[in-house]
Amino acid sequence: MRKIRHSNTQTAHSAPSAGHYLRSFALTCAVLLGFCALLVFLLDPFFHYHRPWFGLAAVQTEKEYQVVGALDHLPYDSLIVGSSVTENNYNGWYDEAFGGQTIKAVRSYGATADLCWLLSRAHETHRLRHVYYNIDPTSLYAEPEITFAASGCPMYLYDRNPLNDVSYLLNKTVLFEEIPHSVLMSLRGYDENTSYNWCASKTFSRDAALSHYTRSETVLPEQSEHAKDEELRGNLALLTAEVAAHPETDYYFFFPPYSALWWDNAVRTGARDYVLYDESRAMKTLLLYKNVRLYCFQADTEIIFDLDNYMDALHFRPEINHQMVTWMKEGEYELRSDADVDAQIDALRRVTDRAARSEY
Amino acid sequence: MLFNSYIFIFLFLPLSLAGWYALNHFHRYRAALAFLCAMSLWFYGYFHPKYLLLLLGSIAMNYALSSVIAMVERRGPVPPVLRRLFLVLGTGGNLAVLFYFKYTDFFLSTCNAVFRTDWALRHIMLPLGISFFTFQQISFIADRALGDAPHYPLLQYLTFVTFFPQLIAGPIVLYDEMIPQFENPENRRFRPDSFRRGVYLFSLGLAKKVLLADTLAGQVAFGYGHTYYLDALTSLLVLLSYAFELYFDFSGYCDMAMGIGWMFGIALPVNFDSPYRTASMKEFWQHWHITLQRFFTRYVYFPLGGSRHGRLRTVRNVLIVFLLSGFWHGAAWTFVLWGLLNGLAVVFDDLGILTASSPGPAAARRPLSPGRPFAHRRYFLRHAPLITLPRPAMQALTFLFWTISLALFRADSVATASQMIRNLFTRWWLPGYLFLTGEQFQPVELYTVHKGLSLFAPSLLRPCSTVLWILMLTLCSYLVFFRENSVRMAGHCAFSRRDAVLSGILFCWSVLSLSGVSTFLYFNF
Repeated sequence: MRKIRHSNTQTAHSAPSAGHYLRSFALTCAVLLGFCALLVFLLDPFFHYHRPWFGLAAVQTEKEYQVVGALDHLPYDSLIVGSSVTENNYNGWYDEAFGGQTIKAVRSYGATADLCWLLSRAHETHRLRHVYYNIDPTSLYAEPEITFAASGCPMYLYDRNPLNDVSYLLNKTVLFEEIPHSVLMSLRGYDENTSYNWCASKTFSRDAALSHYTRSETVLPEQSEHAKDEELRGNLALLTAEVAAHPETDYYFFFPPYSALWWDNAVRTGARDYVLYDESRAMKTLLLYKNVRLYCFQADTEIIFDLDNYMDALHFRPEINHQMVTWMKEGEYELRSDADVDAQIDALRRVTDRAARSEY
Repeated sequence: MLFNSYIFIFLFLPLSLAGWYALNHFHRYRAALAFLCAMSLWFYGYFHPKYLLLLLGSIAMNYALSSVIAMVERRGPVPPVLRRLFLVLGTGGNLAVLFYFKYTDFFLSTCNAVFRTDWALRHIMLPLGISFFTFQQISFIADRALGDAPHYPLLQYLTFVTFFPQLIAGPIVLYDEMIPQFENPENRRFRPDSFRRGVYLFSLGLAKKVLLADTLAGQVAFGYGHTYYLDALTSLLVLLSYAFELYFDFSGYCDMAMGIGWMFGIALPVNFDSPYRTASMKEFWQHWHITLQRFFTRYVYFPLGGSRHGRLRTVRNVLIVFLLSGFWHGAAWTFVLWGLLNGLAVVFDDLGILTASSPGPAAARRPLSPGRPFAHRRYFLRHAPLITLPRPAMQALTFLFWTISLALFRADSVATASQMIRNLFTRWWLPGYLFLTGEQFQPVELYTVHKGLSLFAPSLLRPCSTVLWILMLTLCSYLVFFRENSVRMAGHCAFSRRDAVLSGILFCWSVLSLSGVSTFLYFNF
């Protein structure tokens, strides 16, 4: 009888009840997943919940993941807004030139709707003194639609729905890569002014620029300057709405100096006329606002014809970014009236003619 | 919705289980079935709501035909001609829908190539799971037309087709194994043992999918993107990686489906039974995608005469089955050739030229599911095999053949596939693209190791990644060749505290792997 009882007890030990297994399983999961979520919340490498704690630096290297959190939670009163050509800016250049504390709100391709969305987001939580807005010519005639979701951005970091934060809190890459990266960079003395800089890994030279450019042998007929009117109207409406809604903020709009290769391509694809027309319309519209200052660096032939400044047809070395800040501070290349705009567009037309005639 | 997603694991599945058991607890059996259908439709519609219409339309078409047959049956015996007409209507209707969505572009592009026409391709988006739910319904309507299946109430039929664990990726279930289970009140009761086995199997399946298959996917994509630069060794490693990726991906998904089924108290048929441990292609196809082979055996091979009308007709029937199987897997000539190649291998196995010394443990086991094809071993050319090799050698040959045949399955063109296979026999220089392909293997768990190497010993980065890749393949080999498969593990598991903790860790690790941080490839900025 004893033996039987003993045997039964053993069976009970070797085959625990289903509830026992399920409880242990659930407890293991709760502890592990809870720990991971807590770790991500505390160290928060994408600034989704708070600015960096524990003395960590705000390491910013993944713009699609970090820009929104940075706009929500980092301290700043000025913004550099634009596409990848603005990313090599050292934020401190702007602080020195204009005062304030500057961070970046950048977006690949610099679509106007995306950048305006980021600006609105910043205005929700911060009172902005200055906005340094880089206008890429392409952003004026691109579709005036927000592209974050369509381009695969992690929308759980863009919306304010706490339920989908699970994609951030229980994320292997965040745990094993982003957090160690953030901690290591902080320990190595990361300079927050270099946020999203990519120039260190690229080569700027004539050869590099030309290696990314294939010159079309044919020159397409020039399209009407009104070819992109509808898109232009939409994009300008977005920009002017932003400017009008915040008269307390000074907006510094500037057109960056794309290389002669880019203008050569514009001529050969028949886009030059509507590009220049769109720029002219944009400039004249923006000049209607008192809180806007406008600069155009596109006709500086010393820069744009020297292909050693570029890594491809449009991305230039960081020294050019610095030069633009200095010029803005000094009022160089500033456009103050419609007459200035017309003169600038004429100059640009001559530049494009020369670009199209040049040999590369 | 995918099983390997947060919304499924943390919201959909708990909600479905809670609703199902709560309604059954209060004896609301019809409401429980309706709830399950509604949840399944949400599951399916989550991908693309408009395809719900297609699913429901397909169900309505089949159910309407079944109702018509029932009406005719009530009036008296149904003439065979009428039954054949119902059969043609039922299968033809289903196949027409499948053809339109899956094969229209293939048909048009083939016509354009052969007849030099210029028909524009339609680029029709393929509705998820259409091959699976169409075949399920063909099985029902074919048997219904022939008078072998009863007419079921709409709710039962709807549940049979839409039951979400098997809706989008199988296994291909049959009405006679599913509907009785839904009707059985015993299955409506919460059974802790079935539930824990389901949890355990789901965890294993999820790990197979996201920890093994998805980790190997990078190498495979890179390898097939650079076929013309690969050396023999790299090609072999890429082919092996794909063989493991495919197995862990599909069988992992089926494990999850089966595990969820067990959580609901419903048993789904086994779809993979250690196929890489088989010693011939014939045996292989009795262990790989078992429910598809069962379907083809029951609804194509047997109606064509099976093996009862001489050797030549048997060979023809086998080749037809495998051609159709290849075509079912994808609308491209690569799949058709892949199916044909496998069919020829199965026929070769029947010739009696080469065979394994022992049938192996699998043959001694009771079949996991009924209707396995080619159950009787007969040789076409000889009474006894000409060459007999030890079983491990035949296992290796079978696996090698399968792995190489998958070049056709994975490649986007016959040219790419043949280049991949040619690499194995012609490109004997090293290292080729070995280290470059190996470099793609950078599991995020080892980020700090990779970062350290790239900072302090950058020259070691590629060799180390390559070694890690090979270690990963070794681990996969160990799991598939020497360990029991996950369904059997779930069957034998003692469910001790250690098992609970280990499966919990595996589950958590998998859950953490569901989300990542993508690289946005805009000039690599």
